[in-house]
Amino acid sequence: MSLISKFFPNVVANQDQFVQAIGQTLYMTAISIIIAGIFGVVFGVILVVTEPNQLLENKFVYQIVDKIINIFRAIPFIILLALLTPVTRAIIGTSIGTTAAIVPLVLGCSPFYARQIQNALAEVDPGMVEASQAMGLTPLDIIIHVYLKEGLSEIVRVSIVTIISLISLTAMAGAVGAGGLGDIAITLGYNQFENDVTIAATAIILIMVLLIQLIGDFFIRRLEH
Amino acid sequence: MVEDPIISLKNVSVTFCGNEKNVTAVDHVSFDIQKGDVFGIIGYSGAGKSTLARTINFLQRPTQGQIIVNGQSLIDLSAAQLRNSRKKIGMIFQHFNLMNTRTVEENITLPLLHSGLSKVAQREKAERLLKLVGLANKKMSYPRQLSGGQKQRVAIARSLANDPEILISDEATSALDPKTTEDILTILKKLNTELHLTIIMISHEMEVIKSTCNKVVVLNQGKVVENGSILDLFLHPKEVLTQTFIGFGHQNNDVIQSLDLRPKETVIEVTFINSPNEDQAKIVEIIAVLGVPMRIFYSNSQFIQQRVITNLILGIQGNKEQVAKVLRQLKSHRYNYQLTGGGRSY
Ligand SMILES: Nc1ncnc2c1ncn2[C@@H]1O[C@H](COP(=O)(O)OP(=O)(O)O)[C@@H](O)[C@H]1O
Ligand SMILES: [Mg+2]
Repeated sequence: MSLISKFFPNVVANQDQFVQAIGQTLYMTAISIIIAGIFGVVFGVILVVTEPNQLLENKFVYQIVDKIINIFRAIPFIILLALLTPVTRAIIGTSIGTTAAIVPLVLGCSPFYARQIQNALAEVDPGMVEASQAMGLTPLDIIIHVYLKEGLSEIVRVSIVTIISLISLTAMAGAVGAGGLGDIAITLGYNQFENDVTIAATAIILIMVLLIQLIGDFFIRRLEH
Repeated sequence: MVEDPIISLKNVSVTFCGNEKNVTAVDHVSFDIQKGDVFGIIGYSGAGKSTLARTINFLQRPTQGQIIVNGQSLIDLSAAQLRNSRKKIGMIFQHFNLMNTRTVEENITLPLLHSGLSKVAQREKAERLLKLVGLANKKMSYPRQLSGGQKQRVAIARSLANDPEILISDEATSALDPKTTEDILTILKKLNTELHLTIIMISHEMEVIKSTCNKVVVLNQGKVVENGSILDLFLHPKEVLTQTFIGFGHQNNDVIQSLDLRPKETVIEVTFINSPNEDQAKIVEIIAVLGVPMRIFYSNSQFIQQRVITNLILGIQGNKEQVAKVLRQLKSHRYNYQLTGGGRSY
């Protein structure tokens, strides 16, 4: 304990704030993962199956989803934060705070994740899809039992990438009052020259990333027979 | 009385619209398949075989024409009805198309998803089908752990899960070695005789077709160029392409090119089914009786549909009239002959 207070005096001094910041980052990340995860998988699947020559080929739907994703991915996140202020206020009731940050986080992350899911599912052997069509399975069966099941290890892989990039987005959202580790790294570490706070915040984020990587790799190994 | 065909294609065409040009992969194809047939479709790569196969279970909608399965025109069916009809048409593929994340057993029970069978009943069925294809001890393995031949056995078991009446085999042995190919073909033949499964056998290898099929169509650039019994194909090939497939043509051309012909010698090819009254000796006799000098250059036999088919290359020496007389005699004995050019004369 004394060692910690020696090297991280300001972290110890702001202990409550620091712990709260970890909680906020975890909260923002977790809720955003769940919502963006659903959006990403749904739109990723839509992209894959509506592509020309695929299961539910539909040029119109494909083009619209494809374009929307491209537009959102082109907007830098920091600008998206500002741009979405009215939307956030309409949904959450306020545009400031940890919960409010979830709106831009989800919108910033979902298009990226949808594209990653599309790429992951495109790896599924078309022969398997053909075989399952020949069996008389419905398109929904094929999505669930072929695309998502056969693509699962690839889905986990792209999910890790997405979660890691989401954590970095939460740090950025901190800059506009979302709280979290990014926020204290700026307000305490940068603005008040408390460098140890910045270093500790970085260390915690690195540990989170590492853990996610480890858990992900564990699942991938279990999935690949 | 002729039974209604189990599958009937009427004037079926499939055109793919490309950016630059349209490809007609299947071009006005019509044929009937009878229940219990092992029906061959042979053609080179790109001939349209796979596309044609996919029209039979409507995985590929034809641009034009009708496909009638068991008296039902597929174009009239709703999506749900079409799925039900697909369950009665099994399909196996060159690359097996098994699901990698599922065990052998889970692969076989996948088509039973909405069958209403209990999990236990599904497993029992998988077990029974695995026995049928001779792979009873592998149900807990993953496809990755199996050899090509074993994978194809699993694929066959899977294709039989919904008790189909028809099995489409699209180049199912093309990725396998000769011994394994033979094993798989033996299984398919067994399914045909024991379960009365109608089989559509697609291949680019005549070896595969002739050892299994009773009927065959030759496909070239989407068109059917030959359609008949397999024996007919060997006895009376109409097209040059067919001759290259049946193998006689290929080899014979080389033989004929290498012949040193005597003056006024004409080369004739005769093809016939060996039987007590039809053999080489009989043909020699027919010609000898006419007093025309003759020699046999080459003889080649193949075993097809439990019969031996022989192809002879003969040289007969004589003037036009004598040759005509020989041909008349052969014709009156119903021999299928062909005059061939080529060879080197002195
Ligand atoms: N989905 C498709 N889109 C465009 N062209 C296709 C498609 N499927 C097949 N073709 C074309 O149709 C022709 C026949 O292909 P295919 O039926 O696979 O032949 P085979 O099975 O006899 O090798 C080829 O020229 C191929 O390029
Ligand atoms: Mg093919």
